[in-house]
Amino acid sequence: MSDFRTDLGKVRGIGAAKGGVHEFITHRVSAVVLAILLPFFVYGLMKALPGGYDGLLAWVGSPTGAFVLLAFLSAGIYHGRLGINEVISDYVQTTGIRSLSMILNALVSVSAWLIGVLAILKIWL
Amino acid sequence: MAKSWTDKRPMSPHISIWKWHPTMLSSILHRATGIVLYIGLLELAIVLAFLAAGPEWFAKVEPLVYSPIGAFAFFFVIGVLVYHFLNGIRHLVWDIGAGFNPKLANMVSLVTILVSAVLAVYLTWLLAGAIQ
Repeated sequence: MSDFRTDLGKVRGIGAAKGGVHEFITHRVSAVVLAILLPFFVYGLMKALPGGYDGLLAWVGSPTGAFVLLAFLSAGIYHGRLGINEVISDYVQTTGIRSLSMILNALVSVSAWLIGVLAILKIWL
Repeated sequence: MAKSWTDKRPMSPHISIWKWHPTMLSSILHRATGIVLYIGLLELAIVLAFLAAGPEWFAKVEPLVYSPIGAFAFFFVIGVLVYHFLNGIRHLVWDIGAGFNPKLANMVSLVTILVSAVLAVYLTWLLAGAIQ
């Protein structure tokens, strides 16, 4: 027996997508990035929040603030999207609803990322 | 699931019959806090958009941040963030194959939860002091 896939598995066509290792590794790499950024993000937020509108604007508008926010938001949404996909693939058993949920997750993630990035760039530039 | 199960042979243990222990709690919390943080990031993006739109737009979301509810939300999310951060580092250590001694792992779970609660209280207290 050289082929270990069952006939049913082949017919359904939902075997491994061969992208799992990439997701596994990038999930962890983005975790490392976020762990490094987190202290800077929390520090910046704590400093900016007491200043209200002007304080927040000064934080987002500064080069370091904009960099930390852009990197944190990007790595965070990337990491979060992979995490939510993992939750979906664990708990949603119907293939159609599972695929639909993941597509919705992709749309929400990319939209939020674009909204956040455009807002930061508008304030910073 | 139990209704459609017709196989008479012993079934492997399911959620309901596991005894609760710290590492199990921290694993469940990691997933739950991850979901909360994802929603938090979406909110961050939206608040940034309101900030970029100008003062009259920011005034609409300001009460969400600068109010008792906002303070509680900050306390909750910052605690969740610190927990996911600390437990995430532990998961990275697990990924390289270290830290699996049950006694140590259980202790680390409890310490992580405790430290994030303490830090959440401290950071909220710091912020509340700075705002007044």
